[in-house]
Amino acid sequence: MCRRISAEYIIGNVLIEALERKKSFVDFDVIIKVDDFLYKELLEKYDTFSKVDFEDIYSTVDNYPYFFKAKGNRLELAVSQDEGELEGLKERLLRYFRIGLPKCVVEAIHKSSEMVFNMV
Amino acid sequence: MGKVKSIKDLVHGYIQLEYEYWNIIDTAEFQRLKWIEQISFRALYPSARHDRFIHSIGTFHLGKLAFEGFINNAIITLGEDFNMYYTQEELLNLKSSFLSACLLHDVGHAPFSHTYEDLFNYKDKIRNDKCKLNKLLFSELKSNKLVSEKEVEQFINDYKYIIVSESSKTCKPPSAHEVVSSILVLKNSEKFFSSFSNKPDLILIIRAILGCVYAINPNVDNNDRVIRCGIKNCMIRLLNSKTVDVDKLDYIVRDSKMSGYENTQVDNIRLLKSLTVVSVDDVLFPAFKKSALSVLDNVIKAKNAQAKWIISHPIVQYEAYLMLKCILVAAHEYIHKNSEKSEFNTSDELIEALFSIESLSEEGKRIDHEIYRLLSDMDIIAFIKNCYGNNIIEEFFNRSKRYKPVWKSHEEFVFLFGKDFAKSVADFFIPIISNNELTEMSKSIIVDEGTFYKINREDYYGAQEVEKVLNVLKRVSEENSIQFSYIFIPVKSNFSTKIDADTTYIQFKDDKDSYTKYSNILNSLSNEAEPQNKYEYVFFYLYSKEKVDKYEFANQLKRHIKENSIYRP
Repeated sequence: MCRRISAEYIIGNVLIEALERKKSFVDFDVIIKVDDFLYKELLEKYDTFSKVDFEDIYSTVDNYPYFFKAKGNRLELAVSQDEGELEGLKERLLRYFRIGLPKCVVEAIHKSSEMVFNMV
Repeated sequence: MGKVKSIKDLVHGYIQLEYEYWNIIDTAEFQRLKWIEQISFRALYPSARHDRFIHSIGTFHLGKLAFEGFINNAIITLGEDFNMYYTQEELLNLKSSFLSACLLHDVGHAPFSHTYEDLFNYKDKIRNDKCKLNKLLFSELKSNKLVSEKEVEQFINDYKYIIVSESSKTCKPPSAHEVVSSILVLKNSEKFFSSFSNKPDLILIIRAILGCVYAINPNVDNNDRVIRCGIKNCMIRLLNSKTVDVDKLDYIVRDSKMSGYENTQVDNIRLLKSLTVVSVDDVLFPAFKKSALSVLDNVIKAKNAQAKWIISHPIVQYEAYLMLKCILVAAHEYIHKNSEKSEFNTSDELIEALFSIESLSEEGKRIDHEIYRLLSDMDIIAFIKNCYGNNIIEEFFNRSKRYKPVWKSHEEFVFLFGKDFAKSVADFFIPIISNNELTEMSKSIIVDEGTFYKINREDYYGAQEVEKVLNVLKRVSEENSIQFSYIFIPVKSNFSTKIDADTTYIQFKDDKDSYTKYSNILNSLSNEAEPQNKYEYVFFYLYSKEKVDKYEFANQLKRHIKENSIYRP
């Protein structure tokens, strides 16, 4: 049976990738584009698939109100821009969304995010 | 007036059905809904045996009340405009199209309703216009004689917009069962609508089932289109929208009444009589008159209570987990047992065939030597029973073998661990709860001895963190002399309703421009549309293979977490 990576892990990891680029928000379109690249990569190489929809973004905001908020078409981190706070948040995001992911999947998300972040 | 039949419904009383709708109801495709459970509450409320069949008829009944209420008030609110654009004949056509959509909106539901819905579109995304279901929908539309080329082209453009409608606050993307329902309606349109003297507007029916509104631009479109499509969009929203619609109204009342769960009373008649129309930036939207505010408030209370106390109940959550697990395991076992004689190589292929449009039809879908037709709950149960002997499947049928929840509500969780420490407990288990290697489609996580082998590898990010958490759980099991075998099921943090207060409009005077958003006046009401009880952490149910002394178990867990927690939020 093919495996599925839950949408919220993809969304959480895209936010981690954004934080690494000193950004505290991501446009919905960016998340969707990352997911499109990722979908192909994961299915072809690892018999795993991802499935992020716009509704998933809203439900991730609902489920993790202490991490995220939605503003228009943008997913923002629910913290101030204070550097210390951002660092603490990143640590929590890693614990919530990255631990337990196969390293190859983390690498695939990183690769897809890089492509999309460079495009926008 | 033609022939009318009436049936007695436990929820709405006598429901009148005109002759032409009986023809739809009598088809094998519609009758199939008698064997599709409405919702998986039965594990908790054994009397909740209602199905999609009676829910569809109930939605039709409320659709009738909604149509009458809406049109009566729309004529007053829009005055001349309304009479100019809708003749009596057109109004009848609008009504029969809307009511047909109400009746047929769930005709494509999977067995066990939402539990298996995702299997229709297993690896695909509806937001991808080239996914299998969307391609099928477009091709059925293009080949249907009752729909013009122009209508199809316009529909496809609007549909492509709503499936990626992140920017639109006023519509929601369709779910898999809505796309399947639309495909079935198109495939069977001649059969379904053969008794209608005035053929209903097929494209409006499809749009209403999908929640796909007509794109309107008042700055560019002429008044004729703005009013005509505006009224049609109101019909679409009355059946399928982010706000209160007749589908939701039926299931909120029905699910509670049929389960035996006492919920807030909802006066549907008062609410639907108050339906009217307002003009938001020159675009027509359905609205409620101020006289319905108290009912609207109750709808939201009832929906929230159902989400929190029934849908999120650990027994209901466990049942859904088992159901999904069972079909996946059964498919796997089937392939294993029949590897030499089956035409299917993988369980994925088998699931795809089982949950196909063909298997919902009268003609059916051949799966090796058997034909699966009009697929229903019974077929799935029979398929699963054939694999009896597997632990998961035995657990499904034999309740004494099921895992037991250690705590049964968020309130009990807080009581067991203390208000200040509950968050630390939840955070401590995050490496397990969010561990993708351990989760399945349903997000449930199975933890036992085998889990150590699964995660103890170099190729997983933070595997040592997972191991630490597992060790704590193992020690607590040993101290309690219980088997180290658990299941975690995370529960959504947001119990709130999907009713969008920003797109629910309240009219204060009989004037299309005299309205306010429901969200603007919520503070003076109970504010129930804004979730009050979102968790500050990922809440989960923990199920143990053996019955535990929950107080002892919680105390030991607390002690070990305090000793082992390397992470303090």
